[in-house]
Amino acid sequence: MYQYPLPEGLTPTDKNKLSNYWPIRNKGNDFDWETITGVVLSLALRKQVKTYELTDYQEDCKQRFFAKLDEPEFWTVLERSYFSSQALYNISPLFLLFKARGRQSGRLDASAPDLRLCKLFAGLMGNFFLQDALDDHLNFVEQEMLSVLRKNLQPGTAIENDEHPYLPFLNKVFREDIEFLAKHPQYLLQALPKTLRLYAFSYCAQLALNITDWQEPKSRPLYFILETEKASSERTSVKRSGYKLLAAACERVFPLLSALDALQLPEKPARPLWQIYQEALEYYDQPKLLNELNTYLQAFIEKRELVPRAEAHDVSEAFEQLKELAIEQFRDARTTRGGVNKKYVKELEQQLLSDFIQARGAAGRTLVLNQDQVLLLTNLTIGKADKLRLHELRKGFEQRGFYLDNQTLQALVDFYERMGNVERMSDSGDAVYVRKTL
Amino acid sequence: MSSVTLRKALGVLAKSSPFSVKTTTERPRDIYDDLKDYLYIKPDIELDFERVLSSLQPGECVFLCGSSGDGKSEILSRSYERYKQRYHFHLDATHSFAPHQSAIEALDELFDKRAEDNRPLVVGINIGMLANYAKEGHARHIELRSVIERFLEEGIRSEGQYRFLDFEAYPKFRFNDESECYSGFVRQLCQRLTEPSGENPFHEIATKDELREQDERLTANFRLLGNPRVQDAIITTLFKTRLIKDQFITTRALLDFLHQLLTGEFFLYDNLFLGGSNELSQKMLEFDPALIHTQSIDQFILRYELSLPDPELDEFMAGLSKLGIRYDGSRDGQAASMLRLFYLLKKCEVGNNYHHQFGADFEELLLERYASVWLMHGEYDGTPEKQAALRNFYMKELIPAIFTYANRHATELGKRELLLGQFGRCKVAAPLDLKVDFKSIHNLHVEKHDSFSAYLKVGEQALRPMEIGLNLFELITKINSGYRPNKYDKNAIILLDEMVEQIRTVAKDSTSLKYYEGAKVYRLEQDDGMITVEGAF
Repeated sequence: MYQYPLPEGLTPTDKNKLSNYWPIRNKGNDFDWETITGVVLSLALRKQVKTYELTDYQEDCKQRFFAKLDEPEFWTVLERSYFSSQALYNISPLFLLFKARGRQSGRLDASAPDLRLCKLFAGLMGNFFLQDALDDHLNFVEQEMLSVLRKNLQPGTAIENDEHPYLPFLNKVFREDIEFLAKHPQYLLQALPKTLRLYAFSYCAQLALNITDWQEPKSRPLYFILETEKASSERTSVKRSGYKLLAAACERVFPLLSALDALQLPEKPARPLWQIYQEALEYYDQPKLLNELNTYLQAFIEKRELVPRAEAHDVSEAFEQLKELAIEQFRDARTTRGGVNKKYVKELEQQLLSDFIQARGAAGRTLVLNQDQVLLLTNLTIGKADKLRLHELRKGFEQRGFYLDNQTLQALVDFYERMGNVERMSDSGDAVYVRKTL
Repeated sequence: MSSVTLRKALGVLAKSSPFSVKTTTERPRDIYDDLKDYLYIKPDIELDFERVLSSLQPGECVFLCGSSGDGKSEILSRSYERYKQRYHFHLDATHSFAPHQSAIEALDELFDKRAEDNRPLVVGINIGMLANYAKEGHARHIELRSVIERFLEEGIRSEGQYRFLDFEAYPKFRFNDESECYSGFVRQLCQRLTEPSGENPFHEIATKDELREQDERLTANFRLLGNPRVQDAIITTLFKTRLIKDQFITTRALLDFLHQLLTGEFFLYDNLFLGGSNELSQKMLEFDPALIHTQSIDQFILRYELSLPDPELDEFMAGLSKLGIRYDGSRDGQAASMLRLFYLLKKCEVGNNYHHQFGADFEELLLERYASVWLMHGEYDGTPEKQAALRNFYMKELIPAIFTYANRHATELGKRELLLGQFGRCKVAAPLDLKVDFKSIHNLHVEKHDSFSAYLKVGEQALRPMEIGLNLFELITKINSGYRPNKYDKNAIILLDEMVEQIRTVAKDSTSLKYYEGAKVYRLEQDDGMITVEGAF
């Protein structure tokens, strides 16, 4: 590899800064999920309303219906039904694009936290988009309304992706899920916001679990129980690879991602840590790279007043040092750094993880899926297929970052049986098929 | 034989007995082997299996698939002696050949060997295992895996060198069974077990026990089971667990169930409904007749438990004691047991037939009505009489239930209008011409064991068939009598929801719409790109 993998003249920054791959800051993390849903839809469709306002649209509709109705007075009925309430957004997902309006400048008109979360989803989407327009099945009045909207849609999106994917495995399933939802617009309307919450969780959790590894990330075990189940400390997977594992992993995210920020090349798409590591190992002039890294690390130690250590002997060792130092600086009780990191973790838990965490008596805090989340996950995983074997369903859950132990799986089957969406082929446990319930 | 009691003899039925799992053994035969052999009833699948075996060609392969306890090994071992020289048998496909090997790998190896050796291969395999193999078997067996896939998905039972025999295709329970009940198999089994003839070793043993007045409740149970009307009641209850609880009923489970009925702690009718360790009994708890509440039943319970004088009942009890059924001691909580007894004997003549007064309370109206609609679909031949019967179900039950359910949030809608959605205060509806699709019933009906497909059309557009099982059928009945399902009522609702969604999609294409806004109604008609509106503003 000839491209030098690090910025020229790498020097430690004064402050730990975080601008890529993470939607959470140490404060100011209120998300407006409607906006975010609108933006994701705009990303998927590569369509936007730009500066077209809802009031402009209402006026255009009025003109259209005045021309079509033999009793123009009926327009007031339509106005009352579709515009005086939020009912417009229930007609077709396309109307959600109004939630993702742009500014005159072309930039997205959204708050900073929303922009960050949108960036996360833009990253998950990558260069993927839906080839076919949403096939809405509407009555003739709604069709007229939709066609007024369609005429005013413009190509493009108000937000660009400038990151190489951190979790390629999650990108893959996310695209599949969006593609599946797009085939069922009415289901998409109710399921997309919940799907995005699911993925926001899964992205943060899996990134945290993968961040100390140098290989391309893969789905890491993280065990959930169903809301209706009892948590018991005897369940080893749930105990070992559950909430505690996640909480510990989250503490390493800000240190490592902010260390990563310093390594990004200016004006180039951001790269994940594991990718920079791999590019560095493949770089043809290892001595030069090692030398620069060592210089950087020594300067870093000095600047952050960390315990001195010997220079690394090769590039891979240098990266190990980078990792250790990045984490070590936050253990320093003399500075406020530790407190900042704690805020990052706390904000993450409150804003994006809390839907999935419950305090369960003696078992303590536990990762939990409620019925809605389970059903959504089931439908997404079955996706294009009519039905899946239980075994495959479980694998699909795991690809999305949700692991269930055998006991939970049994509770899941019982739940499906009450719902009536299982088919048994025989009395044997694994010959169970699960159907979608849209 | 004289030393064997009925209780011991019946032990061969229990799932805990060595006879419940077929193994090849060199153990010398004894009386229990004779008892078990006497009970053996050759199932239809075995006849077909023998037919297939007799004409197998080199390179061919037969799969005998079913659930555990269906009797795969039993059938295989009966043919094994005869064909072991010419065919290769693989009896238990869930076993591997070595500790490190998975069952899937063992099957891979088995099919590898087949390539070397041209002898026909006969495999007994659990259907779940077969499905796993189709998904997870090695890529080198992709051809076989896709044949299995097509068998499982499309029901293709014979393709190239492969044959599949599947226990599910030979249901033990059916609506149109030739015996005058829902299961000829269970009927035959009970008859064979209890038949009062010299050929029947169980009868001989029971008679000896009776003479010695030994284990009287057991012999009473045994004689009760011999009564065909009692068998009817048991078979109907079993069938309900199949239909309502989706319970698989394997031969092994059935034998164990009979064992529990006879040898359990109580009289047969209590053993039937009080649970116990058997998997079938567990599912029967909710069919317990003691849970039924009607005026006459509740009155009986009061009278009985308060020991109010009832000479007719006393006379009936005297009749019962001839059957070996005696109640003594306190009557506390015994009324439930009496009700189960009345239920089981509802079609039998006992003493003064006191129990017949509750006949109407124990009628299986739902099941019988379902059975008749199920049969109507199969028997439909286009004649006006048959059409009238079917029309009755569709027009008076199914279609009204669909409309009631779909419009449950919009009771103001007119007849034959479907709610499309609510926007603000406005409810939008479209007229819908939902009808029976007789042509499809005639042409497309396929008999399924535990459900039937209903065929509907909107105008002339046929809809995808709607699968109606007993649960959904019951829901339809309940909706029509005023019940409003909620979202926690999911079981059969999913199917109804799917149908409503399908109809709604079609209804949205309508060129006329209605907007209901409070008390005002507007009617919109699309015509040549223009929209005409009727209604007062």
